[in-house]
Amino acid sequence: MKKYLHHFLGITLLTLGAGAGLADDWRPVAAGSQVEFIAIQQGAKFRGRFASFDARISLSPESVEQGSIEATVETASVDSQNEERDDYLRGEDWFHVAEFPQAAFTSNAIRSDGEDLLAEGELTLRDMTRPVLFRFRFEPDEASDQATLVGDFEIRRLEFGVGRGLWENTEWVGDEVTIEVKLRLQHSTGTITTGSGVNVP
Amino acid sequence: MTGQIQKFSPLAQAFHWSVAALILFQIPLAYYMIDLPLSPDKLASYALHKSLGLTIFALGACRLAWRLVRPAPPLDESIGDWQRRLARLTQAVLYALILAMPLIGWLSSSAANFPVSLFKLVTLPDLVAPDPQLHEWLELTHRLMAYTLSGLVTLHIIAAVHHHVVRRDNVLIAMLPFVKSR
Repeated sequence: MKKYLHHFLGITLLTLGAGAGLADDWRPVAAGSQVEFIAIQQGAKFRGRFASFDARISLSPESVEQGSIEATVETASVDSQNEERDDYLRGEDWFHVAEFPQAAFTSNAIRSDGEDLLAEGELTLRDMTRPVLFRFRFEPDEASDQATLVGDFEIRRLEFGVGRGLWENTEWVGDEVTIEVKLRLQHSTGTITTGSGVNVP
Repeated sequence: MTGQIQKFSPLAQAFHWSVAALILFQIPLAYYMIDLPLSPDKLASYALHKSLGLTIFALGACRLAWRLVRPAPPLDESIGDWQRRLARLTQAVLYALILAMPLIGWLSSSAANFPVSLFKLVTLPDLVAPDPQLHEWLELTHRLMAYTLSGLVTLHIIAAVHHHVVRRDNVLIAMLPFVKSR
């Protein structure tokens, strides 16, 4: 019964929202979404990902300047396909997930350079906040009421204090890290919030 | 024993002793590095181990190819049948391990999502996609091969010393540079 009530409420709110023509708000869905990073170890690149993340995106292609992006990543969900390394990354010298469970990105301004969209914003990792430039593409798909957002940005891990002590030496683990984001977004009409983010198995 | 003894060619000796020296360094390095906590020192040790492993593979392949061009000198006639067979088997398995272990190690690194480079000069491509399960299996294989290698190297050395000291024949001398005969 409760289940049906939820459905009923959901449909009602959806209809209300669409009717009221609220802002173009988007939330990621697990299928087709991923947050990956490319880091350098022993001079070679390797790829890892974060399994749990969330985003609240307000964006319409006609007026990107009015848009905004807020995204969070659960640092404990780091997955570099190597358990020993992941345990280490969760530890004090790296993400220190016990103290800093989330990394967060907040946009300050979004503009288009004719080809891509650029979100100037701030990334908080551990207890450090630094400006980053997120370059991305945003493609709504009218038919499915979904959209795709694909982009990346680069950071220097040491600017955020990620990798302390002996790891501040970049001989074996490079400073530059690229974050690649691919989000499959569901149009959400303002009033509906869908739980606590995405967990990609 | 009459006349000139037949020896391995200088090139064969060079391949043999360089591979021998690297293996004798590589095995203790492996025991040292696996127990280190994850640290730059550990990554450096692994990087060295991988580079040396690849070098052993290259030298071992050259050694084997050269052996096909210039076969080993015949063994002394006094050496019995079962000892010849044992020696042949030991050497064949040694060659197999010298060539297979670096490849298994490389595969294992790829499965662990750890890169392999040759002395930081060339980064080698990943042979397989990251796969923790496969990594575990390959690591175990590499480890069992290392135990086998350690055993066979010991047997190989004991045999060489036995020939030289007990039997007093030319088996070891055939592989020694600068030594003409007893």
